[in-house]
Order: sequence, then C-alpha cells, then structure tokens
Amino acid sequence: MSQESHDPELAIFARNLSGLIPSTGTFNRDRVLFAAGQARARGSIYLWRFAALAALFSGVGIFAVDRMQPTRQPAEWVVYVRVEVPVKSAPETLADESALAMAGRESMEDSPFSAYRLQQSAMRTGLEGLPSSSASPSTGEVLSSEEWRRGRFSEFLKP
Amino acid sequence: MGPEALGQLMDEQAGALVLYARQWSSVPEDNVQEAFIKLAEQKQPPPNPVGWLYRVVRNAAISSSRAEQRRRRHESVRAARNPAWFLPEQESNLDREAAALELQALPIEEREVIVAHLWGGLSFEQIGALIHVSSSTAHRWYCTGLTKLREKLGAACPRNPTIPS
Repeated sequence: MSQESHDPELAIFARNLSGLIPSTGTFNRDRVLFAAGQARARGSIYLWRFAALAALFSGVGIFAVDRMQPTRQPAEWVVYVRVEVPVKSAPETLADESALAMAGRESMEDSPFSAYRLQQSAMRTGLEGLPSSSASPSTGEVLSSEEWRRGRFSEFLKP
Repeated sequence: MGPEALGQLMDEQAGALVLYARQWSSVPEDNVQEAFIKLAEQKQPPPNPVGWLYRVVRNAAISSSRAEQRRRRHESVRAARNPAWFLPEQESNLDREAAALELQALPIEEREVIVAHLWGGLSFEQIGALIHVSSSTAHRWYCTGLTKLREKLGAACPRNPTIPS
C-alpha cells in the first residue's frame, strides 16, 4: 500500500471506493462447504476402491499361481511292526479249563436253586417236588401254607 | 485445508473474488465456488491461499468468458439478469451503481488491478505475479484506472473520511 500513497487525494478516493461492499450474488457459503467436503470424501473413496481392487487382483493372482502348480502325489509309507505274542503250552491250557469247569460246578451245586440241584430234585420227585418261589432261601425246602401260618419266620430271623 | 480455515477464507474473500471474476464471467459465483472446492481438494494447501484463489478464479472466469462468446445471442438476456456488483449497505458515499458502471467501462487490466488490490487486498507484487507483469506496471495501471474513476464519478473526496482502514 506504500506505492499508492503518492497522491493523497487518490488514496482517500481509493479508501472511499473500497467502502463499497462487493455482492456475493448467488454464492452460497454452506453449499460450497458441503461440496468441498464431498470433494474431499471422494478422494478417500477412490483410495478405498483402489485398495479393494488391489486386494482382489492379488488374491486372484495367488489363487491362479496355486492352481497352476503341479499337484503332488501323496507319499505312501509301509511300516512293519513286530509284535511278540505270548504262546502257552497245550497241556497247561487244558488243565486250566478243567479246573475252571470243576470250580463252576461246585459253586453251582452249593446254591439251592442251581440247575444241577433242580435237575436232581426233578429226577427224584417229579415236577411236584420242585420248589416254589416261597422256598426257604437257606435250605431250598418248600414251605407249605400251614408252616407259614405257624410262624416259621423265626428261621428267617436267626442271626 | 480444514473447514474452519476454508469458511474463514470464504467470509473474507468470497465477495471480492466474485467481483474479480465478474470482470470476465457472467457466472462469477460458479467460478468462485469451483475455486474453493479445488482448494479443499488440495492435499497440501498452497503457501498463499488468497493468491492461489485469485489465480484459479481468474483462469476459470476467462475460460467461461471464452465459452460465453460462442453464445452471444443470449447477451441481452444475460445483461438484463446481471446482479448488482455492490451491496446496498456500504461504508462509502459513492453511488454504488455509478461506481459499478464506471468500473465496467475501464480497460480490463485496470479493472483487474483495482479490484484485486482494493477489495482483494493483494499487493502489487502479488498482482504482478498473478497477471504476469511487473509490480510497477500493475501499480501504474492501478493509478491510471483510479484517476479515471475519480474523474468520472466526480468524487469530491470528503474532508474527514470515516472509512475504516
């Protein structure tokens, strides 16, 4: 502004003239700010689009490279494992089996309801001699209704 | 550039830029709007945003005036719709319509320098860089144009001007 002050009257006129306020016409401040914001956002959208496209192309490239490689045949391995099986001698085996059979039979004979004892009873007395479900659990004897009435419960209550 | 700085720049310079673009273009508001949007798009704001804005507005206004020359048949309609250059509320004792008419009558280089310096606040160095002339040439055009305006407006300069500096 120093150059314009050669003529003081001209400087005063210039100040007077600058007092006129220029019209902005149809210039809308808010609209321009909105458009400026949109323009800035457009730049970031382009960046995201570019990043998405780059990721897509690199993914397709990796997939294509992977598919173009020759497929490997799966390797087959045969492994032999030696397993030691203990073998028992034949006479010992037979002796064990007969001992088991004898033990089973003895235990069966001890029970009053064992098949062996029931078979013996049926052979001796016929089907009538077989014990009913009300037989004494200790001896296997059949209790008649008379005996039940006489109160032979004490036998069952003995310690 | 952030929205606050952009808004402040608009408040300070929008009117002067519209008046500056009006020297060539019949759509000065559009030219100024485009310039502000271009400024907002800049990743690095220019070192002198005001000078940058004047340069962009000048280029846009000249381009649009060239396009308008192909549509000269609408000239009378456009002239009829030409809005006022200055607002009614003013801090000057000059007639705003007469001032606008006399300003329009000046050669474009004188008008340009007067508008850029008086209302835009650009220095003569900045104006010289803007229109590719030396600062002394810009100053000479300014003085010549201002003298013509003063003569035509018959401006009797007030003894005690109350214009804020």
